[in-house]
Amino acid sequence: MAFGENFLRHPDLFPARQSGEPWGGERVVIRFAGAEYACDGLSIVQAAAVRERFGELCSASVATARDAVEISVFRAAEGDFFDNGREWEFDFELDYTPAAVCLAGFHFMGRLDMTPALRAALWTSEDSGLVANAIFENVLRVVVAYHLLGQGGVLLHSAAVADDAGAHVFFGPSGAGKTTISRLGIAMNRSVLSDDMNALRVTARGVVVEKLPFAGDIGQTQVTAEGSYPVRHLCRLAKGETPALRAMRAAPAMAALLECAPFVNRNPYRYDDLLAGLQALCDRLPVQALTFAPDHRVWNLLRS
Amino acid sequence: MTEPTVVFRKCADARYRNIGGEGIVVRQAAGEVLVLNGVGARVLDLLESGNTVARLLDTLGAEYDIDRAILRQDVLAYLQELLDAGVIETTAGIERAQGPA
Repeated sequence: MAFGENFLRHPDLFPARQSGEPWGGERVVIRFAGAEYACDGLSIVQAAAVRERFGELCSASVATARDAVEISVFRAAEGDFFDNGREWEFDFELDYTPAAVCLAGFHFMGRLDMTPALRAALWTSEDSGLVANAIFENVLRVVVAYHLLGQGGVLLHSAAVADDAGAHVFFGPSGAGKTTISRLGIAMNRSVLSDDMNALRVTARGVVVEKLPFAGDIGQTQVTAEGSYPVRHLCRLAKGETPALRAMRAAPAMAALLECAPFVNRNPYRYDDLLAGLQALCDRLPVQALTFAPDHRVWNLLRS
Repeated sequence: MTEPTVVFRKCADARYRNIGGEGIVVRQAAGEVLVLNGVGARVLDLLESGNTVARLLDTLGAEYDIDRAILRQDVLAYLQELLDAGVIETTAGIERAQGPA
């Protein structure tokens, strides 16, 4: 099935450039993980919903730094989209060209243009549903993934558990145990940044993990930690009876990381950038395979 | 595919990189990542250089202490796996599909 056919009545009319009729004149600036995301063209209802969703991450000022990522919000007609009886859907489709990434999802289209700087647009028929139907968050996650990639970092499907000495980052596909190990961390008085997605970047002080406003199971029910932490361990997670921690060879480590870099790891035009970013992580931080049972022994293992 | 003059190349969808003597192959449309051991990576490295199957076997035969018949059997089986996985394709097949220039 061709790109967009699940969601769009006329996928061949997908916007070729970032233009359209804004929903309104509202602008909201969201700041996290060292970046600014400036959302323009919002209606009053949409802006209020974005501010409620992202809370104190929304700046009081709408002025932005020069390197802020602009996200324009445009109207689309309801008739542009299929409903198929769904009320909303978190899934969406991605398509790639050398200079752009296109998204098609429930009641929205999105477009990221990479040059001269990363800039995004979304077209939607939803006013109050922009946030409630996860449209805004769907697009923002992809924007963040590409912004991080452009900075040499990576959005990693992972759990980050921190204490005063730094953070353990546990990555793996759904079911690997990210939420389980996060709960174990909380039980041991450690802090959880996210049990779903975290930002990893190489800085002058080493690899750091930063909190993103994309909550997993834990973030929806408990207060999670803020800020940026040096990464102590980068572990590929697996559940098992006998706890074990072993070093991974370079190729399996890169392959495991690739699988956990959503939104960018299927883009043939950014493959080299992604591998370079992952290589930079692996050069500074050995990747380990962690097998754990759901008990406190895992922390003893990591301490050793 | 057992013809000694056959030349293989990576499918357009497949990306390969040698990392520390081992290899990873990403089949991007399918979202699959394969890890190749040292020999598997060496085979892909040689294919990337445009070697025929015969030249591939000669090179590997010189590099590894292995019976030539076993080497041929193992390499051909491995090439078939790569073909089935959509990692490589024969250039002869491509040329036929494209027709004469």
